[in-house]
Amino acid sequence: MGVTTTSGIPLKTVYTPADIAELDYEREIGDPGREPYTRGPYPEMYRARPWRIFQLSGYGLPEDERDRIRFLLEHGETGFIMEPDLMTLYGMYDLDSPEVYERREELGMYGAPLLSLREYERALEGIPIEKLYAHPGAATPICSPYCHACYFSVARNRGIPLRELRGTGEGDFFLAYLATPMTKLIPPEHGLRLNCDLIEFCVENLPGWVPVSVPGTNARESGLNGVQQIAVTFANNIAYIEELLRRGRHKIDDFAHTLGGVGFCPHMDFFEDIAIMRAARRMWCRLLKERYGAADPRSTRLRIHVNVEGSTSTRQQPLNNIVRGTVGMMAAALGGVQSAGVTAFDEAICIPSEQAHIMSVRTQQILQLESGIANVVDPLAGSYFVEHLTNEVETRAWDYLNAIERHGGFIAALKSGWLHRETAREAMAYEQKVNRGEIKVVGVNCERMEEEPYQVPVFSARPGEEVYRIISERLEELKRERDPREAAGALDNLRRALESEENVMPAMMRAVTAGLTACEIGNVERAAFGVWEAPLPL
Amino acid sequence: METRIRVLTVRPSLDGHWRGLAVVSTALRDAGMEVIYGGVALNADEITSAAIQEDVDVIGLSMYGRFGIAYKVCEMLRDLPGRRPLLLVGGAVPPDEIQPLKDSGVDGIFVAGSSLDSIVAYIRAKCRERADDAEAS
Repeated sequence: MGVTTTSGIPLKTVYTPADIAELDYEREIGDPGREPYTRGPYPEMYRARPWRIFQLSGYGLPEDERDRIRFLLEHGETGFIMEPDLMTLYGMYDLDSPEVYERREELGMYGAPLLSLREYERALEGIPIEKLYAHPGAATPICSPYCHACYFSVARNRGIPLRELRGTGEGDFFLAYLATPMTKLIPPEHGLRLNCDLIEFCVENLPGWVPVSVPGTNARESGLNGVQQIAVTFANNIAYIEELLRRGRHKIDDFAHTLGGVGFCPHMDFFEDIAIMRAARRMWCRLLKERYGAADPRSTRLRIHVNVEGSTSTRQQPLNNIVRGTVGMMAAALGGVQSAGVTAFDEAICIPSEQAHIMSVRTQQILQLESGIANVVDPLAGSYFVEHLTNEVETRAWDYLNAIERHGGFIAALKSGWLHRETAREAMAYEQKVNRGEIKVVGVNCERMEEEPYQVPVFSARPGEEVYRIISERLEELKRERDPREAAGALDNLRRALESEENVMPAMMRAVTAGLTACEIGNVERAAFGVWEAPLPL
Repeated sequence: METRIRVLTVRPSLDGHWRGLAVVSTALRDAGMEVIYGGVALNADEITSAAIQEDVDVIGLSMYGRFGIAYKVCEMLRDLPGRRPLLLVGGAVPPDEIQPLKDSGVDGIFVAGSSLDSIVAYIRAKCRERADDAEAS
């Protein structure tokens, strides 16, 4: 078998003008900041605005999360991503439910349990949110309206108008339903409804907010390849667009920009990773113009956040991951991004230490400030190889998007388990190549060492039992101190909103202000929507 | 003819990552083993009784970060009369957790990056060893 990219695109030894003979510059490439945005969404790119340094951060108690966020901001991070606890907030589970109680040692392992507005206030204490671009931890569809309502309420309590807030949400289907599905999920079609409510709320109230940024990243980290990553990201966005158009309250150019900020993940395939970003921008422009008749440039230019590769990090010889992070970040920089996070080099071992986290920031700063990589926009345009590969990626991504649509579109392909089977198959195909040594991973299937050559400090977060005890006490205190009539009224009001077709956000804002907890809100959501288990092919 | 090796797999954590388990399960099936997926967020007693009910040779736990449930399964298996299934843990196991897990009775630990071949070979060798011991006694 010949040499291919990780997505299986065959590679020749050398490329020549014959490989791009048909390429029409104006129609298929265009100057940066002009359709079809292959070269970038803005004319000056990093000269006018360096990509945002935007790292995931969070563990332990909300105040531990706050301290780490402040630490990163002090050292040059230019936005911040809050990480919610996977145990509680992703599923909005009750602390005393048997599933959570039995695993209380895991609490705070993956992020802080931000289970009420008060916990959000603790996590954001001393952080100037009026000045910063933020991701308030709204990682899954079930928790996204709640997380946004908390963040918006913190702003309101500080006297900051919502219109001035800048940031992004995810409400991520890949995380919740494909990559890390837990038990008792709300069914995908209801997740879609909550995200569309949030989009409509933001279109009307928060012009600087991207309520749903689809992170293809999480689909890719689950196993799908780079080309498939583009297709599932856009398939998910198509589901939002179709639902919002069906509702008929807004036209395509009113809301398309809120969906046009997506996440991708480089995967140690330097040139394909670059081609993916260039091809995705061209596809988005075509999709929005040709299928939906969008005319506003804000609708048709795609903005990209990258998270540089957790799944290619290795536990073996962990300092090697600094090099992997650099290679991935260089691909991202050359592909053209607006924002980036680099996975900490110790993440295959532990929650990032301060040392490892700061290295993720420094990796980006060295590229921005020292390397010269940010001086010229899309420097690889016109390369026989890169333009050819961009075309190949695009052709195959359209094919895969068509395949998803043949399986009934994004929601149907997810609910039937087709997407899970595809993901498992791709993950296995990749692993077998690693197993056979066709894909080399230094330190894992070649250049192995018996003794670890580098000593990496293993960071340990506060014990989960302690987090559990403190958070339980705080929630009890909250329930004692809140106005019981207002709490009951707000809960009823939320239930009514969820069961009707009205936008859930005003009721959610009232609910968090009344002191309802994430778990109480989650229970109401599950009661209204029912539950769903992901059809995993295990 | 050798009987098929039966493996029970579980994701005991509330962390729902399943990529690792998916590839390991496929590799075990490709190697001729029978893999029974027990589910997510099962507690130690549920894991142990599923193992008894399904009469498995191997229990495989896919875990991330903290391992209380694995220790509890060890305890429950220790008290079990008769044949005890092999207990394997895979996933993100911090370096300082490996020895305590082994001391408590986890037979095999396969950290991130372990090759599929090494997992299959380990299970085959251990199961054969046990079959030989049973015959000898």
